[in-house]
Amino acid sequence: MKRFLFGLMILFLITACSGNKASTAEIPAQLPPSPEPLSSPLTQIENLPQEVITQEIDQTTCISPAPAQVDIDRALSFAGKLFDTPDWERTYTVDIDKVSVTWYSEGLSSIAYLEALIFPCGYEELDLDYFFNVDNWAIVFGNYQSYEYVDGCRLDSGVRLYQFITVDQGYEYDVHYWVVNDTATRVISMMLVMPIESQAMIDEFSYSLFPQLTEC
Amino acid sequence: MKKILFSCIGLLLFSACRLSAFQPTLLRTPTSTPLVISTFNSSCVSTEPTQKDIERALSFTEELFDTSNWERSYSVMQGRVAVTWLHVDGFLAYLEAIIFPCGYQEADIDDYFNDTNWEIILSNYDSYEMKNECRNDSALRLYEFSVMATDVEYEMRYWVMKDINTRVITLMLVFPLGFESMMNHYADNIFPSLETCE
Repeated sequence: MKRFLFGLMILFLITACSGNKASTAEIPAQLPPSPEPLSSPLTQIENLPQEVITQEIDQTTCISPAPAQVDIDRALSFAGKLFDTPDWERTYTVDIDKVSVTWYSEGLSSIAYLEALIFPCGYEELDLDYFFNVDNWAIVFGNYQSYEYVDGCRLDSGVRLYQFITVDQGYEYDVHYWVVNDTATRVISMMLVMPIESQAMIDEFSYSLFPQLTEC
Repeated sequence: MKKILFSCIGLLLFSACRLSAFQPTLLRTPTSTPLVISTFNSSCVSTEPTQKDIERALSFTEELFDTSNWERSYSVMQGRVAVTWLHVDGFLAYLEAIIFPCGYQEADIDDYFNDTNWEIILSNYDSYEMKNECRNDSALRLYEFSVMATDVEYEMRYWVMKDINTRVITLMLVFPLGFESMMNHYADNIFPSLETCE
């Protein structure tokens, strides 16, 4: 279990490194191929060539990628007081183009991880399709023994949910990974990783965070 | 477990993704963070960093790293604020504002920087060797290391400064061998009274 948590933190490292792919095009090239091609409509989206995205960027309207205090406040307050209990310990990091927040619970063997991503030139749904593609998941779950894409869905409002089952050190974990279009230049992703046997807890936290999209 | 967590957070901090000539070493380097051991009582303060702690950490080096060659990130966690500056050529500066909630004495700092904790702090390096240790009249400490990572040798200077009665600031510079003059430049700007032990 401890090694799982270690792996998870490494995962965060790698997730952090995945950064904003719209501006770090070299990173996907360094990734191993994904062992789990997606079978949902997302698969088609993932195969879009990157040119589709870069051609749409109007550099004249781009903003600074540096997080502002409002971005930090937004990231820290996004989950409300859900993790404001002694069970959870919070860490947050302000990077050049994003803010990430980690809530870690040793007792619950769980981690919640939020990223407030800045797309300085804005984004479209296709940008997010590209960003959250198979390569992204290969990075996110690179330190797990295995991971399996279970399902993906989205609301009309654009909120996405990707569900996975991961395995580390023989333990299975349920992963819920939401993506929210926050503002025209900001996207928030929220990942919950909890032991698969703690289904009630997963449901509870999912409902608290995204009552309209607890699962696909 | 917390050591592992903080170690990993340290990894996160240091593992910026921009590759350069020396970066691969730093990708798996710097610092994990030993825990501050304290017996909490009514005179102790919270271990939660305040906005003032954050501002102190971010402003400690003033504008020294405010160039396009240095990229800054910072993390706020239980008991500390950590700031990383990563140079495009792979040089590294790493500051921690550590909270000792019940205050500290020299002996507490001695204890904090013991052999075991150095192993934690430098656990992401392939190897390390302490070359020198010194301090000046104001109790500013400097530890000098030679460290190896991915078959590249680096010079590391690690200062420990008593900031206020519940805060200690550490600052680490890591430069590849051959960049001593540049390292001296930065060291002199930050700690002119104790640039090096030599």
